[in-house]
Amino acid sequence: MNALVTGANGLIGTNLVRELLGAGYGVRALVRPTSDIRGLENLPVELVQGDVLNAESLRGATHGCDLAFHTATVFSYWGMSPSSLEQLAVDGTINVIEAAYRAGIRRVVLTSSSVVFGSSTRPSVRNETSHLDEQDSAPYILAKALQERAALEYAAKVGVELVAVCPTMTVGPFGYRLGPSNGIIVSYLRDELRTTYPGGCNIVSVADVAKGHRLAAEKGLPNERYILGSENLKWRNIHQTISELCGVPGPHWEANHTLSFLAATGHELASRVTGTPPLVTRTQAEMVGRYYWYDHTKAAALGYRPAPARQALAEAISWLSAGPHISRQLRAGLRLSREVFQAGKARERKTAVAGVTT
Amino acid sequence: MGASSLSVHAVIVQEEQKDKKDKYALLEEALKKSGFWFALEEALFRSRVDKDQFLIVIKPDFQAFELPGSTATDPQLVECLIDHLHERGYPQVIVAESRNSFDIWLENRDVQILADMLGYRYVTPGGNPYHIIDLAEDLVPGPFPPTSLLHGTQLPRKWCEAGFRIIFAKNQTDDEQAYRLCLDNLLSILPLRDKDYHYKLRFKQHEVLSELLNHTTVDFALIDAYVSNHGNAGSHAARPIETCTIIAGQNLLVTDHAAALKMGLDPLTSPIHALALKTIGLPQPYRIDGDLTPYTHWINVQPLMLESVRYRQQWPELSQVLPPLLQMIDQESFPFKDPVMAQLNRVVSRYPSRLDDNPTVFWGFLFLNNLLGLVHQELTALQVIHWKDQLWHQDAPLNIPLEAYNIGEYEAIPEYLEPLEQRTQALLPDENGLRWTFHEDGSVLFEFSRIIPVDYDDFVNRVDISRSIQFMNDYIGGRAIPIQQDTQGRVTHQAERNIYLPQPNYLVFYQGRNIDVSKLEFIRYQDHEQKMFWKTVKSENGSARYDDGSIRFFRRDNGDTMVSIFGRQQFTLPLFWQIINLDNFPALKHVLFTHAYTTFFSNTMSNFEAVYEGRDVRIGKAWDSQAGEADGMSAATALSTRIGKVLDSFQDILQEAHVSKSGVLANLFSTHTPQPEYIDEDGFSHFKKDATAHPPSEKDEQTRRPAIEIMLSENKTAIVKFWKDLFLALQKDAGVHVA
Repeated sequence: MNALVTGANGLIGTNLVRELLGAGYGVRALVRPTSDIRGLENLPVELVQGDVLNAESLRGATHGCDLAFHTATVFSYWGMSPSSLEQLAVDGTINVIEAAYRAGIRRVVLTSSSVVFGSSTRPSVRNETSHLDEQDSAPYILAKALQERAALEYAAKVGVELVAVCPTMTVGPFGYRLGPSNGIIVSYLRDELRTTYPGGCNIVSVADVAKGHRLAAEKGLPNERYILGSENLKWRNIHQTISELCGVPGPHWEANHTLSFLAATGHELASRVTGTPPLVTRTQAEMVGRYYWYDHTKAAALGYRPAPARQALAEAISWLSAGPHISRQLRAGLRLSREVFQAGKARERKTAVAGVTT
Repeated sequence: MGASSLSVHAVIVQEEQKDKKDKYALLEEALKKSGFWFALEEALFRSRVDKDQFLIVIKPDFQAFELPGSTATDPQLVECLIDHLHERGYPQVIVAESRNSFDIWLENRDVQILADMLGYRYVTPGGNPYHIIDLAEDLVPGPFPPTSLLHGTQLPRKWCEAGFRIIFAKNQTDDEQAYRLCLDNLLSILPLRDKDYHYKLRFKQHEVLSELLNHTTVDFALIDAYVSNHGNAGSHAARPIETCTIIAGQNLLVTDHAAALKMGLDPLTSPIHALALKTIGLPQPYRIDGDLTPYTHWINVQPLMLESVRYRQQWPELSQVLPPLLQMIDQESFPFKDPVMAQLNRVVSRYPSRLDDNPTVFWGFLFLNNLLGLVHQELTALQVIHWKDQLWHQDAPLNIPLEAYNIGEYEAIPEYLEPLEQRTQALLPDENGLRWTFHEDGSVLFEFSRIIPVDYDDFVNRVDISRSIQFMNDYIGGRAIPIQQDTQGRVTHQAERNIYLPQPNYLVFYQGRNIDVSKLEFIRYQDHEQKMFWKTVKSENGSARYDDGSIRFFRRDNGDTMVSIFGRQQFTLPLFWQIINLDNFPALKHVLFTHAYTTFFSNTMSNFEAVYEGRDVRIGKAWDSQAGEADGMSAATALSTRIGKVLDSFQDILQEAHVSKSGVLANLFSTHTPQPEYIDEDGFSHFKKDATAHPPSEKDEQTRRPAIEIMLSENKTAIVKFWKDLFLALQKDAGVHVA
């Protein structure tokens, strides 16, 4: 069976490609001409250049495929206008569904996000029946909500089976562009004050998310949404775990809303000077204090069995510590735990078995 | 060197009554008195080549920026020499030069074009033809051994194959070296175009030249001092003076030596000459014939100026950009490729020529040089502490004679170190696993261990113990030369030079120097253990008395890896800390030492983990070995591009604020690249007068007008949003319900 993966060079895309290859799928990877494709190097995939906003380029990409995974998106709280985010999310998705329909692809798996189910100011857990109910949501969250709605409507209209998977905060290897999820780990380690903040989120391994995509494609019900998450943790626990895994003290203190907002403002100003994206933005600071906690019981029915958050973090750190997002100087200050080394070794073994390199 | 008789000598031939026609006679006399013809015939005899096939290469100085200039060798003298050679039956004569860093900045610096502009005509006035070649165009492997910093460097085929090589330099002062003569001229036989980058910054110029003198041959040295160039600006500004002298010698160093004395200088004033004298020395006996009375009205570079320029030139990026900025250049003959540089040069280059006549300019230059040097020094200190990856790697050769050490000396190191190790291991470790104490002689004995929770076999497969020194914290450069290997190809004996940043890093603020040490190393491989021992045998800069030690990879019972480092160290402290003398404050000393060693070795252990993970742990940025070549971009040109971009942005901002493009700024900061109107058959680029400035069109004015209003409006929105969001955050923290 052949599968098309859009956004194949992204964090979820590269891991999904590996998951599909491991399961015996033939994979066609759609990337933009300007994409950083290091995450796909040495993988036995058919690399196709195109753009989800260019319907013409999708026609050739979908030809001969049996399945399509639409992971292409920009998970970012910086650098894109709300309208651009919405255009990429909505128009790009409709283009993919349209191209799938024309190519006779029976099923499209859409990578949505758990944030479409909203968040809480109290530590309560949300599921697929919850709604995005807070006002002034971040443009990224609004774009994902619009994307999902438009996708379900358009797929129903043209008769394509659409299954939406909604990953929570996804961390792990092969993300050569540092997104907000792996960025949580990096920004905490870079912060010499080792700051934590109120609220919490659900952390999941990108390998599990990739597997969840495959399960949704194979066993998911059409027009259904599945949350792909793992453990719900407070930020303090997440940061504590990162500290333990990296052998650094902390967290030392908890920032409140005001300080988070001011710190994020400082990051944004510095970013304008240095020309590099800020590690934390004011949009993210406004999310401080909220609980992005989700329940993945529905996906569990498909056979989805995610690893604990600690293992997800260890896997992510094992890749990040040896990669480009953690500087040599920062790495010299870490004393990684056995779990991190074991996670790295396990990744190497897995990729060696699959016949690809890390 | 071309010492062909017992008495190597140089001659100074000088005309008291200047008469320009006599420069040819002076040259003829200098050749005769210096034994030139004898040396030539002896070289011919040694070569066993027929006289008409005997190749002679003349390497003059082409470094001219104004026509006619006083900083390049007089072509008439070169052609006169060729005529003399033809008369004596040597028809195979080549004039050779290579391009240098100025070719990156200026047009018309190609060797043949430059020769043509200087007045070389390929046929002498006597009707004898000769060729002019670019030395970099045909290269052969150089004779540099693995220990040499020039190892792997190619040399010009013609230079290597020539039977007789003549350096024909110009007599001139130099604002950095004090004088620029034959030794400096020798740098041109190296192949890379950006010579400042490769042979002055990437490698130290004095080390490069000493290597060249050690491994190549110069058969004769001539100095054109008929019209010399003097003054505090050196070759940056034309300040000709008729000195009516020709200096010639069978030994390059003696010839330069004589020329420096004629300038009234101590020859050791020049660092490149000083190192050459230290490493090679003058031939013994040697003789200088002629009048050594210094030239009248001659102006040398003031010692204060020399020091300040050397201080300033330690800033690598700046030292690449400043020479073309300060150089007085006839821009009609040698247009800048970069218009930004052209404009800046017009502003800046007028000042060096006033150094000798205007005390304000002199002291102003002195102040600015020292200021820039100080800024660089403090910037470097910050880089050492915070931005190590901004520092340049130190490409340093192994500086110990390998033949001076036998295998037994490598293998004796464990016997010396192991008793000290045992003594240290008897100490109780602190909470970080560090054991340390003082040796009776004041050196520090320490040991630091860490368990790395990975399989031992896997670890030693990925981490080569023979490279351990390079994985230590703050390693910034050096070179390792394997001496012997075992049957499995693993290095067992090795010599290594390594350079670390000052330890602890904060010493850089007290003029702390890099730790520069050369070591012998011995490595022992066993089933469950690998161990490398090292002993310091030299410290080039006197930064260390002891830096000996061992590193051990050991398999624990559970299969994990244990890494232990033992050391005996004693580093030279900066003057400030020598005066403070920490022995008077034992408690403080204990705290500082513990912190320094814990930090250093904790980071070193993390480096070993990182190497296991497959990442590069070396700090600093690498030099680009192809910088300045056709496909490469030197740091200098990159900097120029950056300057251009900054000026572009500045110009844009000012334009947005209604500053007219046709005004002063356009002339100052225009980055429009002029294209030659045509290139003639000789390869000269011809340019139109600058036509970049044009009056703004009505359309320009219309599109520009609302920009500032838009900017203010956007800022106002952003500011209002900021205060609104901050107020919301404060409300949340105050527990006020926020919808």
